[in-house]
Amino acid sequence: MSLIEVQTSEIVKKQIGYKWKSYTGVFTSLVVIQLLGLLFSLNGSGSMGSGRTGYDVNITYYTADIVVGFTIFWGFLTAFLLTTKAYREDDFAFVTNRKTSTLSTIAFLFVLCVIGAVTALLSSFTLKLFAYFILPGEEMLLTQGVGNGSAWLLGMVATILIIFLFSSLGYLAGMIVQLNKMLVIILPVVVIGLMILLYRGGFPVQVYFFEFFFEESNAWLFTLKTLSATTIFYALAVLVSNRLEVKQ
Amino acid sequence: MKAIKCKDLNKRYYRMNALNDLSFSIEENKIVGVIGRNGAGKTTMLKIIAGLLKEKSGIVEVYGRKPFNNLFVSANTIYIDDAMNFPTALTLKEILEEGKRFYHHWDHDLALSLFDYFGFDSRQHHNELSKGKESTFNMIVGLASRSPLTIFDEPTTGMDAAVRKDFYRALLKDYLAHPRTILLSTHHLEEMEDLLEEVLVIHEGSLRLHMSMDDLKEYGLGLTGKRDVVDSFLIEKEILWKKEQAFDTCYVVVKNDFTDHEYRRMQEAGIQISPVKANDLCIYLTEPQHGKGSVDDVFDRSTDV
Repeated sequence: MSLIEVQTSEIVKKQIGYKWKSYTGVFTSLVVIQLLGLLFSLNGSGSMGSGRTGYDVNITYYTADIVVGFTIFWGFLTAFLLTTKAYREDDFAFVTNRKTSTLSTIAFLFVLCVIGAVTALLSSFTLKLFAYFILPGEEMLLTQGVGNGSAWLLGMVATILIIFLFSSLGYLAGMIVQLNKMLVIILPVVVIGLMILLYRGGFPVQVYFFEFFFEESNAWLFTLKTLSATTIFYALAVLVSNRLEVKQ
Repeated sequence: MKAIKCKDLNKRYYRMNALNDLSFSIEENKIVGVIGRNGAGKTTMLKIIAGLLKEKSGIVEVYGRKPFNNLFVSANTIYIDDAMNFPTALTLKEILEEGKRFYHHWDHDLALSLFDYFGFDSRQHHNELSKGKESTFNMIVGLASRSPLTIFDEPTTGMDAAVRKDFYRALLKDYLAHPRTILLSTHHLEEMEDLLEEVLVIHEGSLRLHMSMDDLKEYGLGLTGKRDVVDSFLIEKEILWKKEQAFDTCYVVVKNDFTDHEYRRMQEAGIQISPVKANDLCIYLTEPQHGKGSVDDVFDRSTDV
């Protein structure tokens, strides 16, 4: 048999296709979590009311905020799950090395994040339909949430980037936990404990984190911030994974 | 070019020395059997060659490259064991399709014919298979991949005798049509004698013996006779195994380097000379060195008390 030279890019492409077919479970969990998000959203994500003699105004906002929040959480969990031994060993059933395995997983996660973001944002229309047809109300004011298409597109990109950012966090956390099972307990204790300690010391990390990413009004700067943070987290995960043996 | 080259290979595995200064090399396009007791380090060695584990020290090369985490070695090697991890979402047919996408030499017709022959259902999933069926399916993947280096780690686990026989025949036929390097670890040497070209005997993490199957069959000689008579012929001979029997007789397995003259003298002295089966020889060669005796002694001791 003649020996075959393969390109990294060729194997990465094949691995992405392979993961797309084999990791169908992640899509099921996406559907479930978004339906759950929809259910919670039926209560409305914000409301205000005022009344005078003779009339009564009550405004309830139906937005996909909760669904998006749930999808972010799903992104984190899915990435975490893909670092577990069972999933990593699936890669090694066929041709791969660690580089192609990690690259294809990250690319696959990006595709997942795009799908998650698009469905999450589209679910706002489902929600409005539900609210219109099913929920009781005197008058429905079907206004568009955002003014124009470009703003909607911007929101879409931002959602994708945020879910992708959280997936990188999940991936890093998962890889760290893979080093030693004890870290399942130690890691969250250390992270949350540090957060509490720093908060008491007058340095609320989580607040800074949210300010840094979510209160950025410049779209380009936001993209730059999230993408670089994502890159850093994935790079750290790759460093950690280099300490793992492939298959035991 | 050598297919596999190992030099002074060491590996620690869960606080145990799995491999101790293991050195050997294997030519291309040979079927090599890897023989050894449980825990001798066969699986560790095969996994290092397949690039799944990292060696602690020493040199290991597969087609001239270090195998660990190497895409070239991965593309040209397939490692089949009884713990293959295939995605549970895929059906058996889909797993074969994936194999076709990944391995350049993959023979899909062969895969499908074997799949039908062994009576698999295309809608079945890998985790639903019985032990023997699972091994059979893994074997199909291993054969169809036609990888230049094909490694089977105890491929016959759970297979019944008929399937094992089919497997040996399929392996031999496919090997003859498409020669490639095949490494097989097995505990059924007596069944594979006609299949293997070379044998690697691994004992406690190091190489005990590496020779062709034909040489191995003639490597040992069994001598039965009166103890003192037999002993007189054993001077400067390598004794591989010795068992005391009743009436002052003993059975000794020695390395077969007797001259014709010595043969004749032994026959005249009334010693029975018998060939030693390769399988038995491997058992003698891998006898633990620390003098625990046989399992009989465990029970004898308890009756003494």
